[in-house]
Amino acid sequence: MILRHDLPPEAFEWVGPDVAAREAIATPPLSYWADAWRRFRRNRVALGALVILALMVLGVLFAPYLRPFTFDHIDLSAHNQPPSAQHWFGTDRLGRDLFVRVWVGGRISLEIGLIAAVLSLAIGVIYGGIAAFFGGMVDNIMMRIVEILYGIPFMIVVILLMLVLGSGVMPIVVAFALTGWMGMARVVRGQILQLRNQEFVLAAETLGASPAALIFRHLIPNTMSQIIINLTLLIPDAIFTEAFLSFVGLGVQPPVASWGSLVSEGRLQLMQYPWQLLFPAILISITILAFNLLGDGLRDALDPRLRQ
Amino acid sequence: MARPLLEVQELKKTFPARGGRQLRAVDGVSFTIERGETLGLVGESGCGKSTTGRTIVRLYQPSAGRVLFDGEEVHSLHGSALRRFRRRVQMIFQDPLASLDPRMTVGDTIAEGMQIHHMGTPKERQERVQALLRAVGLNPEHASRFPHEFSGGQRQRIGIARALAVQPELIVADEPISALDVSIQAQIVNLLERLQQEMGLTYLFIAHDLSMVKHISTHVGVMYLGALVEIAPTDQLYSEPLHPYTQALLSAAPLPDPKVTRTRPRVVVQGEVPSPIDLPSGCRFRTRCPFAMDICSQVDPPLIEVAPQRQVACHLHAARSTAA
Ligand SMILES: Nc1ncnc2c1ncn2[C@@H]1O[C@H](COP(=O)(O)OP(=O)(O)OP(=O)(O)O)[C@@H](O)[C@H]1O
Ligand SMILES: [Mg+2]
Repeated sequence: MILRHDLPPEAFEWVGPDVAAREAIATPPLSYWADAWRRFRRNRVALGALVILALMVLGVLFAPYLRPFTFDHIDLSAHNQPPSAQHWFGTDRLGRDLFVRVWVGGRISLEIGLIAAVLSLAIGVIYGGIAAFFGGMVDNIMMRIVEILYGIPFMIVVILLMLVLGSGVMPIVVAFALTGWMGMARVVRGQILQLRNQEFVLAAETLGASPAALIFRHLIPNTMSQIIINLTLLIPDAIFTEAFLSFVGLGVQPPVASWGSLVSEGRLQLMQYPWQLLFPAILISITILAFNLLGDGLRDALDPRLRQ
Repeated sequence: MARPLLEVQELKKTFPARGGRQLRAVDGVSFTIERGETLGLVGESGCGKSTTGRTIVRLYQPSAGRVLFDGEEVHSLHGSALRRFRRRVQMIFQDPLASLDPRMTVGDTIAEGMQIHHMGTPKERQERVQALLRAVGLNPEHASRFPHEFSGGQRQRIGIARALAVQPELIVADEPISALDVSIQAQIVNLLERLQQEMGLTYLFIAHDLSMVKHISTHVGVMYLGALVEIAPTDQLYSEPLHPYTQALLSAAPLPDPKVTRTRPRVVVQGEVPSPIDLPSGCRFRTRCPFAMDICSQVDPPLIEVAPQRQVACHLHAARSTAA
């Protein structure tokens, strides 16, 4: 470094502290969700899972129309065919086109997963929210009830519901919603209990915010990340439950197809025509895997503190 | 004389503790604050300062005693009177980050109170947010930012702006500077002082250390284990502390003038603070008091006036009581 001793004092000018510059923030404003999306985008695996799920949704919506068959069109002259230009995934033992059936079945599976998960979410959020917000005795009683319900085996609930509602999609959705909400309720309750005494909630209360305003403006938005993470884990759980019930014959009834019932039918001829089981099994596995990877990615993006 | 803005009478707050026992967080506190004054409330961690403040602003229901704000009993207000109270009394919190909703912009946070109390149109509220940001020394353009983008001192200024937005008369500041760097503390105290003069605010200013409240307070109250042990005008309390606990707190605090440091009484307390679940018999300070006498373990000394405006709860000064 060169020191210049020949500069006269007049060469210097007092500029003073620049208060405005010191207080300025250089980066653009970033909301919590924008920030989370930025973190999520950097996670290749989770982003890939999201793309796969988007393709899966497009598939169940539109893929069946790529072929000139309906899911229940029986053509006994073309039964048990291997994959070909005519039948891309082959046909089943009644000659129904498996490509169409797999995608139409996926529609049912995804629908059940989504509806059942959203129902559990709604029940869980409301139940857990009420328990935590009012606390004390209310909380105590409500959580005891959850503990008791936890003890009832899932299959008993399903079978009892089938006695009442008959078999099919409805009892599966209802049974899952009746049992799946408890985990969500616990998550929401824990989070809101923690938030309830945070100073920003007390500040809103001091400003005169009503209980509803506290819950919907402050408590739920700050629980949203946990709710979303939990939802992405509930959906594959519901899809898997449907597949399992259909596989053991308690689920959707023919000619309606779901991934579970297709696997179940394919199993009967596994040795001779393995693709009948292979295609639905692959799609179900990919979907559940993608949801789980998406859930992990969301957890990292939405709740950076949880990341080790 | 006009009635005081805030009057706290024999306030008690207990929390349920393990084994059906009671934790006496606030145990019979009484004081008044006149309009435009600042009462500094000081005491060690856990002595019940926050609980006192939160009960006054009606975040907690008292277990006994009453709080009168402008002559009205705070905890029996409802309907429109309660709404008015919620506007006239505000709180500033200790943790500047935890006191701001991380999902809301600074502008929305500051505007929330105005929205609740239907003050102005959305456009007017937005303009007032800008004006408030300027008033607390922040850039008005920061209204669209989120709390995590600010420094601790800036966040506390946002909390102050939020409290000011509804034009309150009393502000309970619960350790507003304890979490800040020393260099920032003076800035915030000066800001609060300036705002007090401009807007005629009344403060209850809570701190855990006597040096933090000296500058801003007109009166100082010292709390120990849920009770007020001494309350006096600021300069008298610092020049002539009466309660041994106040003397101990002052001995521990550094003073700018070494001569004063040398001449003031040195009081050193030993031992730990007893649990608020298991208060000592008699005077609650006797277990750590270097001057403890027989009577101290038998009779809990009441807070009595020993000189005009000077109240102390100590048997050493019972003889000086003006009431006796
Ligand atoms: N909600 C609560 N439930 C149970 N006990 C509580 C609750 N709030 C405070 N306490 C207890 O009451 C006592 C007083 O607490 P408080 O927060 O009022 O103290 P403080 O003087 O503000 O202390 P600090 O300087 O640490 O903020 C403490 O023993 C504390 O553990
Ligand atoms: Mg406190």
